[in-house]
Amino acid sequence: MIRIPCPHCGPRNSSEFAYVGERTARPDPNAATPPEWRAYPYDKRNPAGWTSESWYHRFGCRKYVVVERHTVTGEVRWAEPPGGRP
Amino acid sequence: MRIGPQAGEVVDRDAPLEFTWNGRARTGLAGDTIVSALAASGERVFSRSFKYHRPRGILSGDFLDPGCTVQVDDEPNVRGAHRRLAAGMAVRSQNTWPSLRFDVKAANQLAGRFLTAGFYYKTFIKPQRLWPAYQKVLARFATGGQARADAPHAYYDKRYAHVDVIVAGGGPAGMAAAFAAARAGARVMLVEEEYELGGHLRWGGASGLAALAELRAAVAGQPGIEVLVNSAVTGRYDDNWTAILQRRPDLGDGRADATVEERLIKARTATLVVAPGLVERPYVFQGNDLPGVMLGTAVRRLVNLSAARASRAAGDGAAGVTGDGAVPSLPVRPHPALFRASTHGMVDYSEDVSSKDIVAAAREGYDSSELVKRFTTATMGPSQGKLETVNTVAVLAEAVGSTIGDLGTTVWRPPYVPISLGALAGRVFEPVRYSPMQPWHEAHGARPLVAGQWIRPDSYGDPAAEVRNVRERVGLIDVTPLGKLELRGPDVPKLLNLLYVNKWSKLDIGSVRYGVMCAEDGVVMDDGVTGHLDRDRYLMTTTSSGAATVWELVENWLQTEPPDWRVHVTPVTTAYASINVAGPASRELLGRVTEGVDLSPEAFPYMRVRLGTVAGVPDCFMWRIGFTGELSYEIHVPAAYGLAVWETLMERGADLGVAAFGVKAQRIMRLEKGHFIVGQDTDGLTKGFSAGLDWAIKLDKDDFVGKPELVWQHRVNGDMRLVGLQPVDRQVVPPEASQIVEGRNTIVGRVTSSRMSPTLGRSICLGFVAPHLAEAGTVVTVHLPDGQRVPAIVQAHHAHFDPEGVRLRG
Repeated sequence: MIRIPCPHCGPRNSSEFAYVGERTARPDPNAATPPEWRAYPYDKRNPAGWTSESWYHRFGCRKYVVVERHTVTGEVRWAEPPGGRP
Repeated sequence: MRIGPQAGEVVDRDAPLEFTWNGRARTGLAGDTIVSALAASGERVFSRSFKYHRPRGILSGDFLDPGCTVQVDDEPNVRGAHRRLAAGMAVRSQNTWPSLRFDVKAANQLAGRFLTAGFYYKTFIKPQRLWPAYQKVLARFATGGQARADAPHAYYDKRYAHVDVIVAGGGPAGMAAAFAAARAGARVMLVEEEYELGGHLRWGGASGLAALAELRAAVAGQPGIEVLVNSAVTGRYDDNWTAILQRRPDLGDGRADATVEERLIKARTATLVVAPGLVERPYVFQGNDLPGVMLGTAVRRLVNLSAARASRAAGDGAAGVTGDGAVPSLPVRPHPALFRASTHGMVDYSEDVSSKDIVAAAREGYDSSELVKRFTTATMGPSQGKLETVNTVAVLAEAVGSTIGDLGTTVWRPPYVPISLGALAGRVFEPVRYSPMQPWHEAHGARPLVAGQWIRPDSYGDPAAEVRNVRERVGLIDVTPLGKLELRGPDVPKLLNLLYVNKWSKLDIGSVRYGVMCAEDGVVMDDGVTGHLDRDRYLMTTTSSGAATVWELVENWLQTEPPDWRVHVTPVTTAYASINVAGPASRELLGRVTEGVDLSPEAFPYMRVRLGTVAGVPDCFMWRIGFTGELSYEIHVPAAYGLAVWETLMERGADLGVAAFGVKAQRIMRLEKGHFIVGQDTDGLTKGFSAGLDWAIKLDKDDFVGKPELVWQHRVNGDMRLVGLQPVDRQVVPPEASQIVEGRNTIVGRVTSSRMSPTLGRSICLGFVAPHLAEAGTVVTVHLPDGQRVPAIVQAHHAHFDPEGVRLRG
């Protein structure tokens, strides 16, 4: 049960959140080739190490936060609003 | 046989407790464990071992003792050397037949040569036709205790805790740590497996007892320490998320809370102090599992805590302590081969694995800790390696010429102690959602439909009659679970253009439009009607099951993707009760209860929204849409007034023949009209054009969710198409999901929705077919579940009834 330091609510159990997924950049829909477009929803880096991912504080402030998490140790480095640190 | 009073004894000689052992009456004392009471009454054998059914007595005399597992009343697998005796207990030995003393299954010992470790990999394999017989016999030999199928369900509890320090272990080290931490201001939880604090100080001798008294007083007198006895820390997870199993929690005054069987405490602690004491490691020698051969600590517990006479001490070389008086510390003679004598003996008492088995396994090539564990099952018993691991690895190390350090132990996994599944499950909460009109539905015989958490009226008894009433007169259906999102702000049209496949920039105030959302892979995700209520004010509706998903999706776009659009979203699904008034007389009925709205067809055409007062309730809005295909209005009423408005409509429409209709009838009517349902007539692979949404998908829009995939789908045009299907035999109603086949067995589609239409008197269907079969008039073959194959004709429209929508737009 990792803890996520919600920038609005403080450290909370991960069970308060919904895991959304690794963040990938959305390509230009009018210029992307099929492989480029399909990489966007389906291909994830999924590293054994630090990753940047989106979580939704469903049972808290209902804000989406970007979380930096180490997939091997479970350590969470920080969580910030999508627009960057306030 | 009790010896004289011991300074640290916990038994109360003035409080005898009656119980039975294998049907025979016995007496123990309050403070006894089940096994100490039996030992005091002269018993030495408490069980038979798992495989060989060797008689077993006390080994360690604590929770881990492998020979002391007994059945107590209806409860199997009770740790008899830990569980405190209670009056009236019916205690039985487990897995013995016909009795503990004379156990026929001990014949296994004669077959010992064939039952060495791993025997089940090599025996009972051929012939295969005897497997049922083998299984019956083996099951009788391999059972533990007896669980009653009809036992009443015990109550398990759950608790969350946030503390500064958890101390696992309430012996001297744990007590001292708890005291020190609390004195420094920490909130402390002190967790102890036994029924009281003290650890080895309790059975240690005079100086131990003195220290014990001091520490107990310190802990009791120090605020900030919560003591949990008969409890265990079962595991430590991320960030010191710690699970504690509290057994039979007491009510605070020493009495056990008989209503709670076990409580699982989930605690977040800043610091976890582990003070578990030691598990004494048995010697390995021939006869080390005989009744009467005990670890030193077991003797000391028995004598010093329960004043029970121990028959003989397994002191090493000591003459044996049989007299009165506390057991003093025995001098330890040094041994060169500390763990094993020259003879083979039991290594895992629970699994009947001897050192000989481990050596044999190593010879067969199972030469690592993990392999030897799995092959011999050593360390896989109820104590999970606590008494066995080091000896297993040591014997293996000797056999393969390595060391304990180099071989290493097997991986340790939580839980540290056994937890009932009931404690893990805890109490199950199943929230249920009702609309405000639910009392009316119940009072009028509605059959409930469980739709997610919502309870909806499925029908009121006769769905076909409900359909006829809507088509001929007027009906009311409660559609409150419909997802509703209020969208405010100048940039709402931009959001709608992004999320829906169609265009939204030119939706006038007072108009509504049907929209479909696809995901980024082009797959149909949700649909609904969105209305432009007022300046910068829209109401989006979604499917009932998509209400939360779409809201979160909208928020995701607004919060995480640029640009910064000025849109504010409020979920109002439960803020409004929603009622669909449908049928030729619906305008007439609504006119009787509505103020402030001109309902004439010219002033209020199809696909419009109006705000007004309904049944005296202001701030209602209603729009003309038509899922059922009749003239109909969907009214959204502030939820608190839902029931009142519903009842008013029923009353004022009585002479018009108004009647309620449920989801069953609604589904029939929507199928008659060819309205697809996302998730019913589409699946996880149905992209926009497959669902027949050609008219809605505007590929000339600059950007919308899923656009690239829909561009490519349109270009290739190779996917299944959703079409209306008419079975040639109009009385045949193919079950939904019936496959459509070509040739012998090539699947080219399936039936997604299928009903007998009371309006048309024939069966009607929607389904998917391969593109080369999608032309109107094509005859396809439907394969029914019973193997029959029936023909069906592809229709020009999805709608079987009023495809031009004349009734809707009237």
